[in-house]
Amino acid sequence: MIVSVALTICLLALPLALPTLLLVGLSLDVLFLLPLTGALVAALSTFLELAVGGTMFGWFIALCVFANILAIVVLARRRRLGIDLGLRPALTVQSAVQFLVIAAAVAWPLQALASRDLGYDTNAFWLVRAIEVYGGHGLLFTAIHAPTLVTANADYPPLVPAGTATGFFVRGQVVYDMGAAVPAVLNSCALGVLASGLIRVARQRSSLGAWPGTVLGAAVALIGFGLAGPYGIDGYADLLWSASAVAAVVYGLVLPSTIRHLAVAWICATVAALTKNEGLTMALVILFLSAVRFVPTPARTEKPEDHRARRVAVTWLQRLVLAAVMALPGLSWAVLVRSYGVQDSFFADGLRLSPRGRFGPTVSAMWAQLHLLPFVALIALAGVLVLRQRRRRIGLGHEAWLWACLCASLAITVGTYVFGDYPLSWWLATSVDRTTLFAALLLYTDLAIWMCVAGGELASRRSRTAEAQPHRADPPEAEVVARSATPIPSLGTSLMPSG
Amino acid sequence: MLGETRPVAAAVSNDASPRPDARVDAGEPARSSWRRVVAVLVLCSGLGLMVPAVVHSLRNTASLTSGPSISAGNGYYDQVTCYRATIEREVRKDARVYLGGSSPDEQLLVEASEMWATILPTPARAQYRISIVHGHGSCNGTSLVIGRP
Repeated sequence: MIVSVALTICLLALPLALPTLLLVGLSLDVLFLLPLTGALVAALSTFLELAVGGTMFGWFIALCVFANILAIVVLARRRRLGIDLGLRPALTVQSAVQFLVIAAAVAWPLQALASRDLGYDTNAFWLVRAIEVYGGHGLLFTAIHAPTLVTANADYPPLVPAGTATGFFVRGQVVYDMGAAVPAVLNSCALGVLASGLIRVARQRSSLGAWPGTVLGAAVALIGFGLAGPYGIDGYADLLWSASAVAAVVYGLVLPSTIRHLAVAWICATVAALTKNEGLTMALVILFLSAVRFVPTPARTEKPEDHRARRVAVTWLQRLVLAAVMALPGLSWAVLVRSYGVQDSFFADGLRLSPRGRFGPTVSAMWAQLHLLPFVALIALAGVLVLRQRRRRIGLGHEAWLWACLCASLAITVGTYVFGDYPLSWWLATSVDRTTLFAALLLYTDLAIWMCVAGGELASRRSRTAEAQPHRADPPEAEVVARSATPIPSLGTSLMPSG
Repeated sequence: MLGETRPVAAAVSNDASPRPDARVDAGEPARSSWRRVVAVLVLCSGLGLMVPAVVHSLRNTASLTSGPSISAGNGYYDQVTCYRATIEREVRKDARVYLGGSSPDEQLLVEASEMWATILPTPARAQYRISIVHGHGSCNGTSLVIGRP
């Protein structure tokens, strides 16, 4: 099985190496992103298989060829286009060791694949859908139009089944263990991207430093698997969308706003959107906020106020267009299956108009999964009040971005339980530990980010004390601050690696 | 804009002459100590919350790789693969089948039949009726009953 899974991951990752590297830059942590990009393209291929015809694998090859031709054209014309691709090698012994530490952390839980356990949903839906994707347009089209064959969730996005079906293509037949192994490795990759994002937070100037950041990243990756429990390795998709969405938050809303970070956030958010419906709703929130952050509000000038109002309107238009363009791939599947009349099974009979008695039990059940919330809220509050200057120097986004995502996630989850159709007790008992996974992982990630900021504060004090002090106050941060200020990202400047 | 970083170079200077914000600077050591205390508290609280979570994760992996877990997982895996093998052995390729049983069983049979047989929602035109019998049999204590509808 190990060889088949490794071949499947290589098949997903390698054909898209060049386009992905052009998009997000050259570094070892891209190795975590590549399989996710491949799975994303496999999901888009499934969309084409259903909408147009043929097989997922045929479309996958076609899309990979197209993406590579596009990448080669950009490479060939980069000077004429005035684009600095920023492909300077960033491979050092330090980055290699950091990569290996994270790789070990995300690989460690995979040893549980030896149990070949298949979760209930894996049998009930994900494997069935993977077989349909593998079977080609006819089978998939029939199954989508006869959802009684798969009971519920016929509208669920196709990324996990597409990844599993790639494993079937590699093996040349339907093999059930691919239904657990491929999603589990994708879980590891998503947590690897998240951990790499935390290392980037830690190695920003004035932050904690790369090595402690590596330990923090590895810890959060391990915690992700711990939060998911058996769902991390038995073929469920919840950890995949949660970890991808949290990684999108880190790259799009925490790290300095550059086009490369936005590209990683876009890929991760699209992976979340094409994995589960919950992932789609959160991805839309994250992409919208990332677009708002990426296109800054125009500065005040001496010009008349009506001009400013016009510029503000143009800015919001740019933000909306950027968010819409980024959301398109993630929305593609949802639009297609709804055009076929397939309903979200949670709201198949419309919104529950008398949700009396559902709010209390919902909040109570979610609270049992999120005991961390008040502690992290307190730490974040202390950080915002006392350490905000340090956070600014590091160049990180405001804490409010992350908490906006957290609140949106909690509101969407509560709303789904309260206004959804299913019997509440059964629904909560079978799913609340999975639906709160994103929020729990985001809380641990926020904790790690504040530890980076606090560590940077202490490290900076220590280093200043250790130095001889001929000047009353040395100004080492000035250059850093000017560099880390969030500019209006133009293509020429912001394609540079941001560290 | 949120997250925007503004220059703070003006706050640090080698110039010893009095400045308008001298009163602010006088309070800087106290604020600096306060920041240090908060930073230490954040680090300690963070460690206090993260270390148990990491330990929980490692224990979770250890539990999932324990003998009973592996045995249970493999047993269930053998059961569901046995269903597919049985259907491929005893049902003609592309035959029309009707799957009996309650929801979980029916799901397992859909999984085992897809790409081999055509599943019908009613038994009227089916060539085979397939259901799962629990309690005995070669598929991990269960077996398939395959017959005419």
